[in-house]
Amino acid sequence: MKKFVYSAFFWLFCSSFILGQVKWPAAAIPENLRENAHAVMRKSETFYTVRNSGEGQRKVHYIVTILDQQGIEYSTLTVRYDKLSKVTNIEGTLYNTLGEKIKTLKKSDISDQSGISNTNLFDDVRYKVGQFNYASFPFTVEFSYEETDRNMLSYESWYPHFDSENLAVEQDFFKISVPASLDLRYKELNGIGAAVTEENNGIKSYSWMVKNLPVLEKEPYAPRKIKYGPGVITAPNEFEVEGYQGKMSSWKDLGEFDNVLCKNRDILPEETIAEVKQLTSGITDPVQKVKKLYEYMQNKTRYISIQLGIGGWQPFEAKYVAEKGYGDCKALSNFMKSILKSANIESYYTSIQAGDDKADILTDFPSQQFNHVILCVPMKQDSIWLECTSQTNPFGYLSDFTSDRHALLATPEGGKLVMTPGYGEKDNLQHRNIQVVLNEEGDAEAETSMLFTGILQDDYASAISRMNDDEQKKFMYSQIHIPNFDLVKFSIQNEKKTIPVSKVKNSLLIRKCASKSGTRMFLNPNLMSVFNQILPVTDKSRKHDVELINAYTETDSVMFQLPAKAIIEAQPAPVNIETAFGKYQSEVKIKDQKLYYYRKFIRKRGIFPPGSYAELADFYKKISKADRAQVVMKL
Amino acid sequence: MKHYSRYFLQSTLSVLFILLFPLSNILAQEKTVKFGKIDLADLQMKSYPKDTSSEAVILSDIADAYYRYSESSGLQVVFNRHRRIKILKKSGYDWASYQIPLGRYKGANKERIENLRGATYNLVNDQIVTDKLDKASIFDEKQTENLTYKKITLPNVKEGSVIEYTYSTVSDFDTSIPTWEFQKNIPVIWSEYKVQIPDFYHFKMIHQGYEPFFISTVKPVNISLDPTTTRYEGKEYRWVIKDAPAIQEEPFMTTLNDYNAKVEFEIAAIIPPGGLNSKYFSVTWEDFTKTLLEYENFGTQLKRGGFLKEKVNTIKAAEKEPVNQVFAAYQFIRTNMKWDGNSSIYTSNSLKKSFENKTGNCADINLMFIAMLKELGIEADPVVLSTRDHGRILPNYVLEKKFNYVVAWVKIGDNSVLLDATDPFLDFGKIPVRCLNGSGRLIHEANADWVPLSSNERITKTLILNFDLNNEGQMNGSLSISHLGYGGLYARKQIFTDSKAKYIESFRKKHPTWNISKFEIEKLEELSDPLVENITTSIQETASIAGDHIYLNPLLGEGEKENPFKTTERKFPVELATQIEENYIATFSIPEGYEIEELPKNIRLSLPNDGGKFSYFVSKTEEGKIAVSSKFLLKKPTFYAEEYSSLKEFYAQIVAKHAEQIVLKKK
Repeated sequence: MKKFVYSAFFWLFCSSFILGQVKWPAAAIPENLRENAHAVMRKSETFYTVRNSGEGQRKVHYIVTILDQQGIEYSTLTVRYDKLSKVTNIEGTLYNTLGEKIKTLKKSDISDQSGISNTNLFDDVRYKVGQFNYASFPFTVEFSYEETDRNMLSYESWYPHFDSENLAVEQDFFKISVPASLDLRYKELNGIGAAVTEENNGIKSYSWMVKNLPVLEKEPYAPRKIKYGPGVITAPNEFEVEGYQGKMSSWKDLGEFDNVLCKNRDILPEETIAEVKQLTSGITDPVQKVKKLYEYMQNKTRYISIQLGIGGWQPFEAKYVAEKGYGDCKALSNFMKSILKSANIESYYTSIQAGDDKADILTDFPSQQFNHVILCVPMKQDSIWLECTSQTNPFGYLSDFTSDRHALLATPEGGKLVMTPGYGEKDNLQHRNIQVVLNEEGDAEAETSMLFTGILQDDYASAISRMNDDEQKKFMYSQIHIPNFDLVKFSIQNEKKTIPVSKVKNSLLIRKCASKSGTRMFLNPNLMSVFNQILPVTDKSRKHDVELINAYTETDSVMFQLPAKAIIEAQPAPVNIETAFGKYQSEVKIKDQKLYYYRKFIRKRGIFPPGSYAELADFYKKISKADRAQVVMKL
Repeated sequence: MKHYSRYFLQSTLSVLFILLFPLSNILAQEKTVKFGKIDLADLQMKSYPKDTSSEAVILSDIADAYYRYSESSGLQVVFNRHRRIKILKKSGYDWASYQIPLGRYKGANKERIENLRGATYNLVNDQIVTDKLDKASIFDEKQTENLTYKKITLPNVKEGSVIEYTYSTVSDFDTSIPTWEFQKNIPVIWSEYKVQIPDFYHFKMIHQGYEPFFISTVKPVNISLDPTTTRYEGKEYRWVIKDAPAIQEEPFMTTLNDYNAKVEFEIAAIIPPGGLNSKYFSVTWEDFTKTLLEYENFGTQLKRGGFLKEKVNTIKAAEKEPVNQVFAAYQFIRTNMKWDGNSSIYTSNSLKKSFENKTGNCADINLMFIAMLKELGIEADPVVLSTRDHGRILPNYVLEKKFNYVVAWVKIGDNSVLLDATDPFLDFGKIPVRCLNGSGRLIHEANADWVPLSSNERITKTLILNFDLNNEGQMNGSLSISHLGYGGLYARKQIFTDSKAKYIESFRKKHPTWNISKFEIEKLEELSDPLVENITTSIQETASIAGDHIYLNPLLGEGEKENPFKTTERKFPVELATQIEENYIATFSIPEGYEIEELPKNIRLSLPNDGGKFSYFVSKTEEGKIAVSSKFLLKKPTFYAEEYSSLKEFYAQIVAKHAEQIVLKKK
């Protein structure tokens, strides 16, 4: 017996230590981390060293096990670099299921690819891509590389569990070191543990570690701010990029840096100034002046994105835009600002985080959290906000791309953080007014007249501006959810107001608008607005708050002219529900062989406690049921 | 020699799947568009009458290609293009940026660009204002070692602008003449391509599309390749399509590439005067076969299955029946090789290397499978094909680049079967739906031939429902859903990628009013059996009670809810890939104290040309239960545009019937 134990031990000893081959056996992954995971980060280390205000170095080393085909992207190393950064020392090792080393990454396994994104015409982004092309699951890859970074407007943001639906993490470590004279600002997010700090020879270091993070199931309507999971965002106090120096310990400082970058870039050609003068002569209302000049800018320019080096932060000169007629968000906003300046109107170059799915920035952590630039024109009353990259955007309208969030104004006194306007349930409207003539076969002719405002009109506005005749028709078909119909005629009109409006009219021929079975007809009077969001209800208790991002109001008023012979056998009772999330009403009335259907649904926005999820699900379920209630007629 | 020129002639005169009637030469006309000379009417145009909301219109797109001789590089192909576009809407601004791909091969042969010019024209106070493309607006993007893009963006583009650009590319690839696409996703008023080819270059030309040529001519010309040398006999081809409408993706299409009007060229032979140093490229299907079999990354690999010897011996020892040996090899390759998702007829590596990596493209995997079968002494050969999203194969044109996929043709006894080892969930004997695209070409030294790929397989879904309805409108009972044919494949794939739990969860999400007490999945691993889902559930709110009546949709909302064919017209065929079959067989018991008042009417429909059928029957059984049967079958994988309206109507009837209800009344 003793001998057996000895030999088993010896065997283990030999295989793992003497041979030195077995390093990352997949079998060593704890069971709870395997569950629902497609890949497991076995170990990851990121060291970010700030050498001085203008240069940093990143050293990354990680080992990840790929469990199945859906995790295959983790077997590829992708490192982005550009004119301001340099990647060196890429190394990689491939291990099989047992953790035995089977290959080392060769030079020929690393490719260098252009990284110009679809939205950019030209930029300097490139990728180093390292790949083994191996697929016997599970297997493990180990990668490391170093990067010199001279784009010091931001340091490192570390989100070890950003892909929590697919990736489990055994261990991930992050350490950032800065000269004590510069010091570091950082913010710990979403429940990460406190930093371990040390100071040696004038270098301050901060480190964090996470362990054993299993894959998480996504909760519907989870708040956007928890999207990337626990993490740390770090930022400099002072920095230097391509000879430009700045500070960012306050929003004021960061806004000041935009002023530095924009300095002397607002000079316009004489012709442009003359045109501006001519356009605004005779207009006294400052709002009308801004509007006129915004439309002038929209007609004169288009969005072309070219990002090279500091050009990622700094706008092209206004003169360049005036001559070429194009630029990116920075260039066009700066151009618009210059135009307004020539008309003696003050405006502020405004940094913002754009996107309809983005959480607001961390307002208590001044740092470069922006991806877009717009323009703010201060007025006596409400400020005017101008999206300068769109040639079709209504004057003063921000849509859900930039509305309802914090933005950084670069004022002459430095940066100021303010909120952009949001669109509530009174701004986002959908009104449908429908007249239907129903015949004894259940077929119908319908005339609809609809009005959409705010973010609910965005798709219609874009259909007009982007689609041709045929595409518009297909788009109309896709917007109407009636089982069988022909679109006889349609029109879409758009009014460009601060809260824009789209008016849509349709003529429809509907086959079996009411389903006819024998002598009866079954009709769902809610012809076009059936609510479809059914929320899954699970036994698991809800972890996160519930965030409803958009508010809106829908009203439907449908009149059916019924066949002369039809007698109502059954009709739904009125429904009236009021909750914290909104209000729903629907009602059917019959008079003079006419059926009137009325529906109103107000959806509110906001963040609600985790416990309210079940109520929301119940509310939506009730709406869904009421929206499907039928009228039964006998012929 | 004679053979090739005959082929050559035949090809240029061929007309594909729709007849293109070139108008006679009398009507033919010239269109001269000079750079910088802008027609005022074009600048004044507010919208294009034939497509009033079009974002832009290509006023003219004119190109020519010809040969020239260079001391350093030899014969080169020069391609000149001049395109003029009217911008009508702001969304059309994207047309003011353009990129030209420039290839390079092993550093030696390359394409370069010459005489790139561009300009924007605007009407300002009735004056034409010109803005030229300047150097600052030209960029070079190095995509890979072998591919660079020359990118341009034109200045001062506005609604109403006319823009134009012109350039020449000079290519060292003398066997390749650029393809010309006459149609774009915006209308093209005049698209013209002129090609001059010396007679010693033999090309096959392929025209396709649904738009007729306005002009299509061939005339003999004398070609001088270099001022100092003699003139060569040659031909000049000219094609014009006028007023081509915008072409756009529609549902149930294979690929836009199959419908777009274009002309392509494939080198057949180079036969210099005197016939010396003639070079023949794969021209006949015999040559095609021979070429492929000689390729290091195709035919040669078929003999390199030796590394599998050990496994082959194990199989031989364990299985005596050939069919079992094939199956064992099939399973072995499928469990050991993961498809990387790439389609190709060429291996990316040696078979041995791919086997070590455990992954490869479809050629790596299926040629390995064939090599293994050959080691087993089983007759197996490759069938090359083009996948549905890659476009169709035209049997009259021998074009290697048209093929992008390879499967195994295996002879077992007197039968042959097509197999594809890239998909672990495929039932033995099937090939993936992506491969069901016309015919494939069997590559065999002696018996090369066409092999039909279209299968009679279906996507079949059968629901059997058995429910008791109580007097509160609640339904209790069970249903089984079986997925057959490709339906089984899809369901299994879904379950394996999502996990069983997630699959069931997503079913629950789609049925919020169902209180499911049991959900079992059967035959998940038995790929040749139907996959069966057995569900026990109670359902609220499906039957509605009003007064003395209960109304019930007998398909429990599982029927067809929306017509997939929406628009009234259709230009292109509807491509469904497989036959589609859906069956519902339901039995309901009715609550005590209720009787049937009304049942939906029975119906039987069929599509013309045996395209499909639908039947719906409801009856009362002897036990007082209600029996419902609904069956529909689409028998053709492709419906022509002329059949579209009857297909749409067919679906309309099904949707209407599936919405009907049973009425019960209190006794």
